[in-house]
Amino acid sequence: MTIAPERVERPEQDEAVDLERPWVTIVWNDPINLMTYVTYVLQKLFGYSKEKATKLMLDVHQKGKAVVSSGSREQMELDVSRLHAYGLWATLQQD
Amino acid sequence: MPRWIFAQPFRRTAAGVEARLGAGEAQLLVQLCRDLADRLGEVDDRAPVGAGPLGRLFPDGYGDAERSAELRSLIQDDLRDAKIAAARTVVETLSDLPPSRRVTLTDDEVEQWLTALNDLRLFIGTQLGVTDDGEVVVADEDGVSATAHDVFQVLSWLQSALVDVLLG
Repeated sequence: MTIAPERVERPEQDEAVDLERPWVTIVWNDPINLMTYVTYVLQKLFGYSKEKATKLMLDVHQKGKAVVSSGSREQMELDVSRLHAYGLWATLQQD
Repeated sequence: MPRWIFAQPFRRTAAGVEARLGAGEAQLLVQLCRDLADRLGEVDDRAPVGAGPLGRLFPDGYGDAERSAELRSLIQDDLRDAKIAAARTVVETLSDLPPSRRVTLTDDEVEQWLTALNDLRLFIGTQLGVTDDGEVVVADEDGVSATAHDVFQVLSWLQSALVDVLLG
């Protein structure tokens, strides 16, 4: 076992890595949306299993937010707009 | 306690989802959806809607104001029109009900109902200042907020029953 260096030198890669960082769609907790409704919407929009959708819903409810999808910025803008159409509080950001 | 408390307002059938609301609930829902469609008609194609109840239906898409504004300019008109269409679908499907008051909703109409019911809950819930876990804090004891509180509970009951049918 070796001790990792304190700082890894890779200045040339930084910009490229930044551009490749995926975008994510986040659903935030809100006091009004019903828990079962959030589960239903996540299944409907993303094709998630009931188990996966329920786990994400519980993350939203208990931790305040959950990443529900990731991909290109354009795709995440589409996901956010679809979630807004269902009344969920969603934003996108670069991971 | 009103009799509708004991009735199931929605059930799955071969043709879709059958809604059977009490006459009072149907009338209430039609009126609320008409009002909602009117309010949604005030929403600009791209200008931020603000922090009030209507604004809750059009949240920012980014943490960053400039990017949010850019996204709004692309999607807000479609979002508004879809919400208006959903509210109008509820009004149309509840018009000219037969004496049984039973109406079968197609899959597409069910999604429109979910959208309109939820938009109404978000609007009224924001007005009321609903806190976490659906608790409603009634700010004062005047008749207006008491009525809004009752309406919110009816909408929550309908939305919950419809989602339960869809989740099986």
